[in-house]
Amino acid sequence: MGKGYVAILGATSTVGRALAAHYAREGFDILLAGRQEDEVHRVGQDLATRYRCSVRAVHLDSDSFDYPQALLASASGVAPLRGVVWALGTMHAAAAEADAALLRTSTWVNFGAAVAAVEGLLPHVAPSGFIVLLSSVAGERGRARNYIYGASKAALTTYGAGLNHRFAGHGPRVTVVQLGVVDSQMTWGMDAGMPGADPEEVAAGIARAVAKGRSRAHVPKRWGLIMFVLRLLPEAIFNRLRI
Amino acid sequence: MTSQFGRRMEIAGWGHALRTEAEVVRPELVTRLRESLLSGNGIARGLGRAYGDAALATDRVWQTTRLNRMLRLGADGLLTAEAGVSLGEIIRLALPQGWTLPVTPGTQWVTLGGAIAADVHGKNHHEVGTFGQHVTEIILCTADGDLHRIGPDQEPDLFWATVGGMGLTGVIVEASLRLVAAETGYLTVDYERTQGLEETLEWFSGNDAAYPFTVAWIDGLSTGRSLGRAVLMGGRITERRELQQGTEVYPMPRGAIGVPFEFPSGTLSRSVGLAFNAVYYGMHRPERQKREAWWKFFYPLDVADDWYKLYGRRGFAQYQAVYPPEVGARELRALLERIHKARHPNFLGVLKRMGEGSPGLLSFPRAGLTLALDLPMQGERSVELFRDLYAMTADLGGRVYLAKDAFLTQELFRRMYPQWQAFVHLKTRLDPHDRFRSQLSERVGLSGVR
Repeated sequence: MGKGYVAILGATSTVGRALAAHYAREGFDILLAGRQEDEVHRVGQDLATRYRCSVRAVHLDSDSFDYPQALLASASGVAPLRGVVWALGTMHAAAAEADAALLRTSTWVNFGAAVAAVEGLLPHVAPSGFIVLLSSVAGERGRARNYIYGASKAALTTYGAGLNHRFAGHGPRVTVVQLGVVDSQMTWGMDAGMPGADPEEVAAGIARAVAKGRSRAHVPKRWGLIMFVLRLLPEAIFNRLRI
Repeated sequence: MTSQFGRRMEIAGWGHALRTEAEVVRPELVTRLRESLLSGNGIARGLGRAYGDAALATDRVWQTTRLNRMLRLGADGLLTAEAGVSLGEIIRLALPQGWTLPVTPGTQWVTLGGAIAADVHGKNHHEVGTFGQHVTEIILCTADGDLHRIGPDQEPDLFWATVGGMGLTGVIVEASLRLVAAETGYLTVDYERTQGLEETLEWFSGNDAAYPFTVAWIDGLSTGRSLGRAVLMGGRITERRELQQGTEVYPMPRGAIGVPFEFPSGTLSRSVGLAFNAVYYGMHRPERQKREAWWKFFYPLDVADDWYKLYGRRGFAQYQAVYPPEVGARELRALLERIHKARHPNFLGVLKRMGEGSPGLLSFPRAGLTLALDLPMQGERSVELFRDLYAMTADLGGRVYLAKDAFLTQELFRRMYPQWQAFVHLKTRLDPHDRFRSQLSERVGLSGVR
C-alpha cells in the first residue's frame, strides 16, 4: 500500500514535472493532468520507470471552462488525495497581454481555473493532506514588465491565503509558493536579469515549505529578501528601476 | 513572455578551443522541438561532450537535455528513453535492477542521443562493437518535422546513416537500447606495466581474448626505448559470489567535484605533462584481481565534472584516430615522434585495439589500433601539428574520430570516410535544404556542398 496520490495539475510545466518527480521519489503515487496527451503520458512513463510508482495520466484542456469538471471526474477514482499541486500558469509578451481574447484565457488559466479546480477537488482531499498553489513574485508588486500576469497571480495568492484561513487547524494545509525566477520553459530565452534556479532544487524547496506547514513561502528563499526590499521601495525610486 | 524558441549565447566544444554564438533552443516537450525544427537550421546538442565543433552551429542548436524522460525499462533489459537522458542516469536507474550499458565511452555525461549520433565505443569494443549496434529502435525527427521509427530492420538505410551520423539526418527524439545483465557494480581488474611500445602492443594481442574490457593508458611523452610505455588494464564484471557478504552489490558514487575556475592557458605545459605521466606510470604497479567500483574503472575523469578548465582559455583538442590492422609499432612510433619533434605537450594518451567496424556509414570504429591524445592548444603550431598528424593518418589508411575532431578538411575527410558519398546521397534526399548542419558538417562538406 503506497502513501496515496498527489495530483499534479500542469504536469508538463517545468516545476510541475519536477514536483511530480519529487513526490514520486518520496513514495507517493501520482495523478498527472496536462493539456497534451502524448506529453503527459511521457511524463507519466518517466515517473513510473524511474520511481516505480503508480501513475494516472489524464489530458485535459485547462483553457476550457469544463476543465474543473473533467478534472474532478478523473480525480475521484484515486481519492482521497494526499496532495494537490497547482502548477499551471501562462505568461505572454507585455504588448499582447491586454488583448481581450488573450485576457479571457490567461486570467482563467492563471486564476479562475485554479479556484474552480481546487474548490472542486476539496471534498476529495484527505483532511491531513496538502494543497500547493504556485504563485509568483510577479504578484507582489506590479512591474511594467509583467503586471497583468502579476495581477492574476496576486489574485491567486489572496485566494490561497483565504483558503488557508478557512481550514486553519482543521483541514488540508495550504501553501502559497511565491516563485522567483526558475530555469524553466517559460523563462528560457527571456532576459530575466539573473540565472534561474534549478527546477529540482525548487521542487525540494517547495516540498520543504509544505512539510513545515508554511502558509506562504518564497522559493528560492533569497526571493523573500529581494521582494521585501522591492515592496518597501518608495515609488520615487521604484519608478526609476527598469525591472 | 512565452519563449517559443531560444536564447542567444556562447557555446563551445568540450575542448573549448572552438566557440561560437548560437540560438540555443532547449525544448522540454517533443511538440516544442518539432515546432522549432521547422523554423531554423542547426544541429542537436546534448551535454556538449563533443570535443570540436560537431555540436556547434552558427544558426541554432537544439539542446536536448530536458527531453530526458525515461519511458520504459522492461524485465528483458530493453530500455526506452528520450534522447536527452545521460548515460549516467541510465546506469543509476538500471544497475540496481541488475542491468548495465552494453557500451560506454570514457564519460557517463553524454546523452543517449549523442552516444548514438557519434556511435561511441568503449573498452569492450573488441568484443561487442559500438553503442549503435545495441540500439534496437530510434525515433528520428527529420527536416519535414515528421517522426520516423527506424531500426536495423526498419528503414535500415536511414538507421545506419543516423547511427554515427553526427546529427545530420535529424534530431533523435527517443531510442531503445538493449542493456546487458550485470551481477554486480564492480569490476575485477588486472594491471600491467610495459617498458615500451612493442611490449604494449603484444599485451593486446595476448590479452584481448582474456578480458571483456581492455585499455592502455600510454605515456605520450616518453622517448627512445621507453616510447609507448603504458599502464594496461584488463577487466571483467565481478560476479556476485566473489563479493563478501554485506558488501553493497550495486554501489553508487557521491557527487563530482568541480574545477573552481579556468586555469591560465599553459598550466598544462610539457614539463607538467612529463611529471604527470611519470607519476601516473609509477603509481600503477602491476596488480591482479583488483576490485573497482564501476565509475572508477569506466569514468576516472568524471571525478571532476569540468576538467576542461585545467587547459585554460585556449582550451585543448584531441587527436583520436584508428588505423588499419597492419599498422603497428613502427608507424605509431613515427606519429608520436612527430609530436616529440614539435616539443608539444600532450596528456592522457589512450591506446586500444578495436574489433570489427559497425555498419554505420560514418561510424568511426574499424578493426585496428586506436590512439587518443589530448593536446593543449598553443596557437598555430598546434594546428600545424594536427595537420601533419592527420596527413600521416590518412596516408596510413586510418581515420580520425569526428566526435573529437576540430581540424579535418573536406579532402582528408573523404579519404578517411569512403562511404561519405552514400551518406550525402541519403542526406540530400532526406534534407534537401540542409536544415541539419553543424560547423563540422560545413567544414568537411557534409552540408552546404552539393
